[in-house]
Amino acid sequence: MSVSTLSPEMTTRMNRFNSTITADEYLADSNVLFYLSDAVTQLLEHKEEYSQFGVTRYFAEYFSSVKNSNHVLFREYNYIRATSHNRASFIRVFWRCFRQIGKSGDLLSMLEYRSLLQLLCPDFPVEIVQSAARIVLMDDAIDCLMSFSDFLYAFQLQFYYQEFLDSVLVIYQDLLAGKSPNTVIVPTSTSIEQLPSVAAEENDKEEHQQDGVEPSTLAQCIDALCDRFKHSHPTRSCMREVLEQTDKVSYYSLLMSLAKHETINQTIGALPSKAELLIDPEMDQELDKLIAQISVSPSSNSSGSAVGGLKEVQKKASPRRNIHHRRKIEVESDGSTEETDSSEN
Amino acid sequence: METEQGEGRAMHKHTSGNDKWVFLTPMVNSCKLHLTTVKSLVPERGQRMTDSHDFVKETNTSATQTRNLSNPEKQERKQVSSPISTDSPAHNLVSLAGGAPNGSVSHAAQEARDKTQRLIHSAGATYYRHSLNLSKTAGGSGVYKYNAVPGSSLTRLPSDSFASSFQRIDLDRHSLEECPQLGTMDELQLLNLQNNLITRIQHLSHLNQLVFLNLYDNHISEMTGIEALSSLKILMLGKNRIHNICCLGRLSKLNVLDLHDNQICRIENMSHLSELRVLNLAGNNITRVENLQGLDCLTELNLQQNYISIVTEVDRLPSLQRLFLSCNNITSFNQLACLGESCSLTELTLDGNPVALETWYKQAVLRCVLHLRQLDMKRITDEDRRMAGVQARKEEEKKRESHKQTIHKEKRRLAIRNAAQQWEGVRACLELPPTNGAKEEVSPENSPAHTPAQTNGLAQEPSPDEPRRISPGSGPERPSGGTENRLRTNSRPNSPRDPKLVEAGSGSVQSLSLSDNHLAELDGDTLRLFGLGALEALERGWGVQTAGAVTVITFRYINFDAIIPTLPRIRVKFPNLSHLIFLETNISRLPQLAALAQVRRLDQLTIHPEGNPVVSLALWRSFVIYRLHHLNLQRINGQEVTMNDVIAAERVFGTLGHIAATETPRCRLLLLLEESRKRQLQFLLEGRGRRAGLSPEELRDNGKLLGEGLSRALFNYPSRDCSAESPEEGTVESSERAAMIQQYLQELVQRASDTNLKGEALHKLWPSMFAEMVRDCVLEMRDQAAFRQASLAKLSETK
Repeated sequence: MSVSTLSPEMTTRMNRFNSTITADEYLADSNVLFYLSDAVTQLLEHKEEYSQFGVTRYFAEYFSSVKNSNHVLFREYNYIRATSHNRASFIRVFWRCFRQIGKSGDLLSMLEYRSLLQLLCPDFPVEIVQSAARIVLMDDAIDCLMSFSDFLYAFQLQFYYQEFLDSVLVIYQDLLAGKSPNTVIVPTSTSIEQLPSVAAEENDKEEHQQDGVEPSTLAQCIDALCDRFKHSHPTRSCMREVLEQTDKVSYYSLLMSLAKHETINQTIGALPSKAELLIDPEMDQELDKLIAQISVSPSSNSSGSAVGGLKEVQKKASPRRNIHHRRKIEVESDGSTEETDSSEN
Repeated sequence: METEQGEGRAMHKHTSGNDKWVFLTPMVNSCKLHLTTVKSLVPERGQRMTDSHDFVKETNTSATQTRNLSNPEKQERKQVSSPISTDSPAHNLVSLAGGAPNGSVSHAAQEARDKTQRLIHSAGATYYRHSLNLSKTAGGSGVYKYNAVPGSSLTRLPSDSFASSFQRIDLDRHSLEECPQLGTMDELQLLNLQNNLITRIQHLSHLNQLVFLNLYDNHISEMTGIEALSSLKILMLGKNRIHNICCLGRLSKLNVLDLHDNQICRIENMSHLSELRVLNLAGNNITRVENLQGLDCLTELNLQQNYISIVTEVDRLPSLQRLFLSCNNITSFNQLACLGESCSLTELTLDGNPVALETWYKQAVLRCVLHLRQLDMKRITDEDRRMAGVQARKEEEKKRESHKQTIHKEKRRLAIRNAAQQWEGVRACLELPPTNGAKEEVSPENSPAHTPAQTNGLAQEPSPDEPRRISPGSGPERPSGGTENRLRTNSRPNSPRDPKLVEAGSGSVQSLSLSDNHLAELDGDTLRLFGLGALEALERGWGVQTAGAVTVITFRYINFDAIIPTLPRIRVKFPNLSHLIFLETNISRLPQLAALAQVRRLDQLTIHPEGNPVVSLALWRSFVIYRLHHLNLQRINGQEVTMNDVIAAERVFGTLGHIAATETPRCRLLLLLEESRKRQLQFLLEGRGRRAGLSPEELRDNGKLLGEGLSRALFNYPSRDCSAESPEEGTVESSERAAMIQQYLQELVQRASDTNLKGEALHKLWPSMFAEMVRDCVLEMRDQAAFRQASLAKLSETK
């Protein structure tokens, strides 16, 4: 439960020794309670396994994994999106796992990215992926192919600032409709409310595709939004910077620029800069090792020429293959006895 | 001996028939006389039969014989051979009048003589012969002859009609163009005018005693002129030009009516002839057998060589024994249905009809007409009957079988169609839910297994105006079916392990489970499952051999998520399974494919693009190769898996697997892995690290030890069983648990923050406290001597 488990952003903002805030405020802000609660819930849900594993050990591992950002692996979507730290962790894990796809230069469709995300998080919803894809594709058909890096940065923005973007969308639509954005009710963080807005946006898109809104007006509104916004949002300076670049801005062009903004990327801290996106020598090394293993022992059940330790592990790790293997051996031995019989005769 | 036998039979038959006919044949009352007649007939007939084969021939024969009458030698011989008939014309008449019994005699004789074929049964034929005899007795003079023979023997007969003298006139072959004037011969009983050129029947109306009138082979075109002959028993009008049957109104005593070889189109105006026993209508233009009601004594009906296609009312003839329908136009047995109703019929000819060419003809006839003794001149033996019975049964069975088969085929077709329809409905449902919310996507409620109520998927079709935003890539609606052929080409395994088994099985498709919307069938080594319900076929008991023979399983119209729970069972049940085929099973995401890792062994995997959106993903093949690496797949969708494929797959997914295996928290791994692996992992954890905190390096090492198998094993698709355990109960439990946890944590936090507060307070107070303590000490030690003494005293005190 040390402070170090929390993201640096938070530790800088609040200090234990800064006695101006109460304990409850501190806990609420640092999400410590959330992780504690999840840890205990998990423990209770899987009593059997974890008590065998050791409760102390479990807690230690849980919090060290939170610190190492690998706690989100194979967790449910609601957990992954619960905290900023989790979101950033998930984005990072996604990048690390599928960097090779970017490296190979393959272009993939929205559904494909969704499937990849679902490998890491089985119940990852398609809506987030769709929104991210729309940032990349803008006006193009949603099933166009996207490069890995484009998708990744758009996905980062969409996933990390989900609630903020929804609010911006509402403001943008109101501006388009000529309404006063000050009356806008900021939506709560529930993702379900996002749906109708997306749907509405789609309708609007057809009508107001070309005309955006005045960047200065939008900047003002966003500024006002930031004042009362509880969730995390991109820094104002970045947004202002982006908005100052053009004289007409549409929602998705704004998002596109934000997604490509290096400072925002750094603030989130999950991904390296675009230039270094495909570089991860440590992982490359590991991968080379893995491939080497495969090519050394092709189809791995036919020859036993693999490294001793590795082979042993394989045997242990896959009892199924073992059975298969054994069966084959039996067949072979049967054949051999027949042969010897015939030679004797 | 043969003749004797035949004679005996004939006699027996005749005597039995005699009782019946006695009132019709008043002249044949004397048994003795009758017997002699029979005796005389039998050998003679035998002689005659040898050279007469069918009706036409018979008439010809009689004609030639008539022509040969001038030959005295022959006539001499004839007379010798049949002395009685020549000597006593009365006998001739007797045999004539009793034509019907004679007929039966002749048939009895034929029965005895199996060699004789295709005899003519027409009484007419018999009569021709008798008329021939008459002409013979008349001698070769051939002149208009008036012959009155008061038969002395006849006086013995009790019959009154014959007590008086009778008279006969024979005008055979006199080229007469008109009927002769027979003014004074009121008592004439027999008049023979055959083979003349008469065109009209005239001058006969006063012959009210006439019993026999023969107008065979003339040019008569109408039957008028016979109306008044009320005593007439035998009327021969064969080979004329008559178009209509008429003028028989007062001839109610008619016994024999011969109208063969005319141009009659209709059977009519006869229903009052209640004494008629023989009716010959052969060689006319009749198309229907009808208007027969009322002919209560008719025993023989000859309708050969007409154009009959429909037979009716035969069942209304209570005495009918012989029916000749050869050479007609009867095409199907349905047209003879009424024959079955007749219980008196014993002889039947149907040869020369289209229906007789059918293979089952004889059996069908025998089955239908139970009392039949003779069919197409051949005696029906018991063997025939038995055969017919057996054949009938066989045929029935065959029919039933084929019927069953067609029904089954139809059922099969229907089942598949319904499954397809249902599938369409289910798919339409599946495509909609994303509009309801993000979480719905994976929730089991949407999977078809949870909506079994929708048996006819049509009802589940979405309304067309419903917004369908989430459709790209998930596959447009395609008409189902038509992929069967493609499937078949792929379904053969590369190397069937036992060719004999394949051979034996390929022909016969065995249906395992069939309902109106699912089908499970076993075709040799291929098990095909259509529709969700077909999965139950996997549950049932399988013979070891049958299960062992299955190498291919095809799924169609079944949601993949519903198949997954059966995979472990498939793994156990079908040890030789080497090929799985998925058609329209709605595999849409990569994680689903991971579920296939549960099968024991798999050489081939086929996932058709149709109804399986996953195939449209570029990475699916790589993922399959990566995830199912341990199965050592040979082919995917018919395409061989090469080493390069394996390496490429590793390149794409290796990192993912590596990270998953090495970085996932150990405790989390315990949950993710299946049973066997879990135990390994536990063992590893126990053995390696009793200590609480493992350093990250150690963790990493552990991950490596678990190896690549682990990295892959992590990607498993949860079968619905575990994810869908009673949601309500789960939520109640979890909400309770959440409340409990919250309370617990609050207390914990409270205590922690209290402690923290105290600590902070202490932290604040500590400097002053410390200063105070130091001051106290300093003050105490200021007077060193006093301090020393005090300390010493303290020590000594304590000791």
